[in-house]
Amino acid sequence: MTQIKRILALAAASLYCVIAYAQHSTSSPYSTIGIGEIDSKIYGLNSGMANTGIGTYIPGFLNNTNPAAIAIDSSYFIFDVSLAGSLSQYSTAGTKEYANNENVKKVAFGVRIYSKLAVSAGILPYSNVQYRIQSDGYIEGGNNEKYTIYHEGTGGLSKAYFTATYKLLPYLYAGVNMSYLFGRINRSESLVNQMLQTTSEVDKILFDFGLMYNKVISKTSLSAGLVFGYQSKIKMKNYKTLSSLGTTETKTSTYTSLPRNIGGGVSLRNSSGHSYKMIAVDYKFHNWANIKSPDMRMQYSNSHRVNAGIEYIPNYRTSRNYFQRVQYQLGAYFEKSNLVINGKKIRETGVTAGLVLPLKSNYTQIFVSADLGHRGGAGLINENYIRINLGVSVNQLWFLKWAYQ
Amino acid sequence: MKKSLLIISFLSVGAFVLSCSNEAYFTIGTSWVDTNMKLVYIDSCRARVSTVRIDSTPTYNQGTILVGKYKDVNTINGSTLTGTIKAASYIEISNPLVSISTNLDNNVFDSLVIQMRFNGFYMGDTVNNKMHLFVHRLTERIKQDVVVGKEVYCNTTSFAYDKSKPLAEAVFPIRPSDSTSNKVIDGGIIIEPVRIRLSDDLGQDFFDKIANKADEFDSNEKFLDYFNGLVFVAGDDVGTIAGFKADTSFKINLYYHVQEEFKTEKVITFSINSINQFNNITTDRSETNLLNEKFIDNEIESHQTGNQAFISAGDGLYAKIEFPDLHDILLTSTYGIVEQAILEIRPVYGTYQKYTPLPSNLSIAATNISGEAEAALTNSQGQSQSGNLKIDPQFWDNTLYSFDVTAFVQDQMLAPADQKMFLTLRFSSNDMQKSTQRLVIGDNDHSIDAGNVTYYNRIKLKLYYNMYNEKN
Repeated sequence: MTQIKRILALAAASLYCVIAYAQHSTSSPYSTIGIGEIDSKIYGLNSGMANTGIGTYIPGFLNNTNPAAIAIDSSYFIFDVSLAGSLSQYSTAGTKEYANNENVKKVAFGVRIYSKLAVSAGILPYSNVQYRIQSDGYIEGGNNEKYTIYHEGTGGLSKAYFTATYKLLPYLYAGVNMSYLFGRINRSESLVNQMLQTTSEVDKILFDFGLMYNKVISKTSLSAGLVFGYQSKIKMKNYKTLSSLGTTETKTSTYTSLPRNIGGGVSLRNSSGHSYKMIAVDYKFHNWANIKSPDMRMQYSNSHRVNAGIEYIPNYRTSRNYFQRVQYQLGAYFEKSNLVINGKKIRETGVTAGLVLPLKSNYTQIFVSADLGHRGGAGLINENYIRINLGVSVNQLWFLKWAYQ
Repeated sequence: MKKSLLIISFLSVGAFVLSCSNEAYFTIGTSWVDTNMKLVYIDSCRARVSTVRIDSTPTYNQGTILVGKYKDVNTINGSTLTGTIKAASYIEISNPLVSISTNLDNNVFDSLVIQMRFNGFYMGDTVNNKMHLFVHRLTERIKQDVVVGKEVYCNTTSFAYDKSKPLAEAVFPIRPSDSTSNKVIDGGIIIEPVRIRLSDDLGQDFFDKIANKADEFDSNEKFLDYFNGLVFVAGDDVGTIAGFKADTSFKINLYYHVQEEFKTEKVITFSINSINQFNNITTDRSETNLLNEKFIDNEIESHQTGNQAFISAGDGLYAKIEFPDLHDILLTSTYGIVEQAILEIRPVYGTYQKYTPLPSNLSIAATNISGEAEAALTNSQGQSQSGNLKIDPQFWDNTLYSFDVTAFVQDQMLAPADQKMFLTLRFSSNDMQKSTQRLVIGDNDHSIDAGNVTYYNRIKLKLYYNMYNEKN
């Protein structure tokens, strides 16, 4: 019976996924390149802690930073939805421009199959392409006359994933994550009456792996995690249409690669007294240097990212003061990105702050977080942004009730 | 349960409301986007220009009487351009008595006088030259030659006339601006029409026949059989061609009087039958580069005629313009589109002055090799174009006509090699049929020395080419 209820709940959640996950968007010059801007943004319950989670093992939290981190207490069903909105200011010497974007960002659910196996599935953006850029040129051979080319890009790749975490030993968990990357990127370039439209399609299955160690000593628990992903080649099917006096269509395939990556993280949690404290740190390395840039104007180099966060609940037992039961989160991150333009690396830094608000039942939580960051480098396009994440994490009880009715 | 639904609804609505799109185009990031297109200006496309002669131009029923002679020379180097143009005009008049009856008993004939007005057109010196013109009586009726299939009267049409004895010979100043009767000049004098007194013999004959109610005035047909019409022929000493109105202002007045207690002057007016009025225009090109034997298939290339081409009204020369290298120039890129093509035509300096002014309208058309399916070229807004003459009195190289030939060039890009088309440049049909104007244009290599200045009045095709070159 329980299985049937779980399947029903799963179906309901899937439906919501399909409806809610219609599109995602960003407006960024960074998204002009390759498969677009790879989404390293922050969603979910740990968003206020800069998404730190490779070494975090917490029951009831659909942690998608480590395939071995799905921890669900018996008979719980967890459903997460989050959306994000952001405002970005882009600047180069003398020019400032603003963009905003927002949408449902992530939908995920998880369930424990039996005592040793918990699974989670979801969908979230993987890369985004969204830009409208105009570039001016002087008519070749003309008398200082100018023309304008308009570039537009939309679309991006999405990632649907299925994660299974298996308890190998009393303190050791192993996990595998299967991701299906899919989507369509549309780019266009137009000058007066001539237009080039390129649609690139991707579908690719990837795997990545994780390990998690979690040891509880009295009121303190220590977790440590490792993740690994192998390098994979992605085929892009490109359909080009050039419309001028007539229309010319060509079909090509190009290849791009995602790098080998490895990451590690540790966290420490303590619930002495009625308060709860956690500190977590992650490091992740992507071996981009091994991959040839598809574009002459930039090179790839290895990327490094460090995330760190803390969390605090003043008193999780009180029923008198609601704000004593709220989780307060702070985080920070630093990334040396994979892009090198004109010999300069793009760096990204930011700080986050978040609140996780329990509802009366204590099984449903609403979370809200803010992420204030900067990306760029001297002489490059610099982006200052603020992102707001908003989400809800719902546990099994209401689903089961709903299934009974 | 309800609360949870509320939460989900809140999230969904939030997502929807926040999704306002940003429509503005960024200028940041221009160096990151792939650019495969550029706009290139090309004006090096060679034009092959020729002068084409046509058999004849219809010149009838244009309301215009052209008469005179003009020797066309370039004022800079004195070379003969289109030759010596001669214009004569054939006129048919109607029987005035078809609808009126007149009793001329006891009346006395006075005179028979042509009265007409300038229409403003002239070619040549009007200050120093006078009009010297002969009026002859036709000896055959003006009739369309159905046998030959010529259904209209052209510049080459002529009819026999009595050369021995003109009905009148007149010499008078040429005042093209005296074209309206109500114009009052400084002294308050009303401008008089040109008057030419015809032979009294003819006048007396008309008068007698009318008085005797002769058969000839019984109907218009009988009248025309009796009086076939007139032709105006210029004297050999004339150096100017002038135009007169062939409308109701053209009259032949038969003046007479009756002597009773007082003398009463009376008049019968013969009016022009404009349908059968036409101009005969011939050009003697014996001293020009446009000798008949040089034409091959009625064409002569511009480099044989001093890097110039000739367009004329009346006797029908037009310019033919081809772009043999168009494909080669544009196919330097993978793909592309000509966004704009402007053809500039420059009149040759020294070939236009006050006696032979630049025409304000020209007409351009696209034609295929066989000359069929000629279609006027409209601009990108679909409007007809007449050359948009721009006169620059400081830099005569900049005096030019320009035409939007974008559609033509685009068609040529798509057309297979054996379906090449060319452009024809002519006077507008209005000028073509009722004037003797001409225009001299330069080809790709044209230059002319004017004292210490050299002018390059060259034809130019200005192309704005949107070139697509795939980067990879």
